[in-house]
Amino acid sequence: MPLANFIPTADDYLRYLPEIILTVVGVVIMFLEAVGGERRKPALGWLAGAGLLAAIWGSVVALGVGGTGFQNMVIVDGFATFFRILVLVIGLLTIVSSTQYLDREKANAGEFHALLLFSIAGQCVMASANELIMVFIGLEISSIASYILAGYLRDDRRNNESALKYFLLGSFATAFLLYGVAWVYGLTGSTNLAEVRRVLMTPESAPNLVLMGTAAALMFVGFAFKVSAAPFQVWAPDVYQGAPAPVSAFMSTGPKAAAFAVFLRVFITAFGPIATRWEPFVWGSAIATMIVGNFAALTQTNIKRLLAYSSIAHAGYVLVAVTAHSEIGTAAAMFYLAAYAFMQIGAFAVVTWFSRQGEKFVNVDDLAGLGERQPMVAAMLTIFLLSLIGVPLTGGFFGKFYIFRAALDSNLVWLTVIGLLNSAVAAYYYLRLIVVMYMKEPGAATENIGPVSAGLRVAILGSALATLVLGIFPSLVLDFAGRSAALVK
Amino acid sequence: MLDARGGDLDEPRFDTVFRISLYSVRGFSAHFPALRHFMPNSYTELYFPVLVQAIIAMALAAGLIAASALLGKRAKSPLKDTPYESGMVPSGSARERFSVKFYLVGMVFILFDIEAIFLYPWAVVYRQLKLFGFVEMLLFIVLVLVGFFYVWKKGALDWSKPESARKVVK
Repeated sequence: MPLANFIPTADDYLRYLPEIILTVVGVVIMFLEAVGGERRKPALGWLAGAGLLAAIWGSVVALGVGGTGFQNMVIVDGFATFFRILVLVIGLLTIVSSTQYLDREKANAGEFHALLLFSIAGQCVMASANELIMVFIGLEISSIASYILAGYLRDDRRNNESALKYFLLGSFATAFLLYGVAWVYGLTGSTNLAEVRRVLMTPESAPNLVLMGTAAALMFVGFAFKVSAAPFQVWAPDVYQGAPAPVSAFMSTGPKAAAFAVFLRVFITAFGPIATRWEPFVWGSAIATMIVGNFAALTQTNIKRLLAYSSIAHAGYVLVAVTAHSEIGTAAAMFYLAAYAFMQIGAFAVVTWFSRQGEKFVNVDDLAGLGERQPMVAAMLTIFLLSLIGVPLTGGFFGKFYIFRAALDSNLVWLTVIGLLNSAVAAYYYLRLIVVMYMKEPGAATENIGPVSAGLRVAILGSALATLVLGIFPSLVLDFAGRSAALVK
Repeated sequence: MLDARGGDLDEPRFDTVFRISLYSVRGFSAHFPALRHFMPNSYTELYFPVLVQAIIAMALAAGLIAASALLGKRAKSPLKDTPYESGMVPSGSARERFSVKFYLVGMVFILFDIEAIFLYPWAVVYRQLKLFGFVEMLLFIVLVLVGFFYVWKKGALDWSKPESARKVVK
């Protein structure tokens, strides 16, 4: 192929506008961090926020010139735009909920924001990847930045543990993914998703199904790790417990949503023709993930650890939607990831505020009396917990409802039954938090608790509002998800 | 002739060549039935020579080690157990604690070293990419420079900075 064909067009750059904006703003923040003094640190947070807003605008512009770009490497469709905007909004909420935390822990703010933007840029690359190499590059950009974020407070022992575990296990999982990509290329002669699908569909060129299944399994290991699906979920509780609370909120939503985006795109677009081979495995993984997450969460005493196990369980519900392998399944997964992001970030924002300097108060029993002493925050946390349970009028309810409906449509009756039983189990540990908040005698931990900072207030109120809006008017998001769920084939 | 993606069909692409091997082998033996016994027609047969080569390689390595162990003379001396330092007499233990500065400088060096390597493929295709390649490479170098500037300003290259000024993990 002549090299001149590789020169991108102006539209190609527009299709990549969000990633370009994020990278430029991230680099500028790094530069200013090195040049500027301590005084200018707060401005960097504002700059990062402005960059994320600009990137949301860029995503909309990119959708205007939708289609494939950069020699088919990148695809900008509704699906990509949905996940781009989702991770960008997650980024905004993370920034507002981390300002007070970074001041409190006396942590350098500049790098934090630059790393956050780079991580989100990687997730946008993943969302719009149309090529296994782009999937890998996006995953690496996103992961490497989050490895550093997990150990951001580098004088803190638990932060170090968290970052090291995340890094070692994460690189191992990425190696599996890359090995899977190599197999796919060897068997089909292409890394382009649509091209892989075409080769698999053509009987005379279809490769050995056992080898192809191995390739898909290797890639599944990589994705399952990133979404913390069983049996590759072991890292999640330790990492989320050790990392700074706002970073845990980010890691359990942003990278997870982006990983599910590529998971769906790769397995439904490229590996769609061999679905009968991978569906049983994803089915098994979905059940194991739900059961492991929910039952382990029952006995947790640390709130961050509890939320980590609950995050594993929620990945299990989304895997149910992946197993459904249909357009409504994809739409349900998209809706669920959006609803889940808001409730998870909201809950973590409350933990961020409550834990205080050095994250001293992170036990479930510390919440005793919060309902009496801080009724407003307690009410917000209750909304997030009810949404995590899946109570009607919250986003979590419709998320679960659409996922199980999609599963029933695909005749996954047993998976639906097990999923519903799991939701009942989950209700116990979320309700336990509410009981402690409202019905226990106020303890020492809720005494002399400072006010919620303006940034955290925005994060908590915004997440609560989004959770309620998704629960009362789900069609606002679901319609768009439904229209974009038809992946390019 | 160009295909849908603008590729040159007359010029065989690497992936086509790669994938075609097994099928062409099958097609070949179909035309010459007498050769069928010698032509591989499954992946197992296609890769059989690789297996044979692996066995020969392992046998050769094991055989040489065994031969030198059985036939060779052995003269033990304490000098033989010392680490090999290209002829120099080793001084001191290798299990010393090194300053963390070496690690930092080593890491920064590897990063910039690898980034500099990207300039070589660019130089090779510079004429074909014209202005586009030039601008892209300029952007790349600016990004690397910002990184360098950051490393510099943060004091990672400052060798004389006292160790005690750094914070230690509690």
